[in-house]
Amino acid sequence: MRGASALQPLLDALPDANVRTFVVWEPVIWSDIAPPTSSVLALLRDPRAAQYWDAKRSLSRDIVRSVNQDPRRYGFDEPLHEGFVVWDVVAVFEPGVVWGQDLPVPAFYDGPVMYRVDRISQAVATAGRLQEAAP
Amino acid sequence: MSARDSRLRPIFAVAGIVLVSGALWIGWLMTSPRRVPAGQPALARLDAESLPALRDAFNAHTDAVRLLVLLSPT
Repeated sequence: MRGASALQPLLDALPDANVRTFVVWEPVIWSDIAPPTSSVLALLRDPRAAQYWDAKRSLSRDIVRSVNQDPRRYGFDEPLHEGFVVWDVVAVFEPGVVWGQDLPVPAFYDGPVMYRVDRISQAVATAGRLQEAAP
Repeated sequence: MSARDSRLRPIFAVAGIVLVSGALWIGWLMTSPRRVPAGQPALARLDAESLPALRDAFNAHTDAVRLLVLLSPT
């Protein structure tokens, strides 16, 4: 939850950037028994964002499936263990990247979100420069 | 009333308060509105069947830098 409030200033600092944010809320800890309330959803108020509730952690499972197809492609030495939950993480994707059957390899990913905002910000800026350089 | 009963009474009272508070909290959580901020699409439910919709939304903005964020709501 605190990750969302940490990301909003990052987006505030990039008012004109062509950035899209997909926030997927999922139950991880015991108190996550329902979708995020309006006050939680309001933590990320940027209109360039879309928010999702993933009650069964389908995206996390799909990411684990993608990674385990070829762990080294995603920077892992070995497959993620069965039941691994991907959460409190941000993945940054450069312009032009398409999500096919498997999740594309992000240009950057890290977490916990609230402690990695500077690095996420740098990654977004770097990806944005690629965007500007594109013909 | 025995001395044992009067010793247990505060424990039952505290347990009752905890149970009622928990029930109220769960009720509030289940019935609270889920409104997204202005300008955003409505909160979408995601599952194995609707994952392609997220992929489509992601791929609809290939000209943009995209952030995929996974968080827990509490």
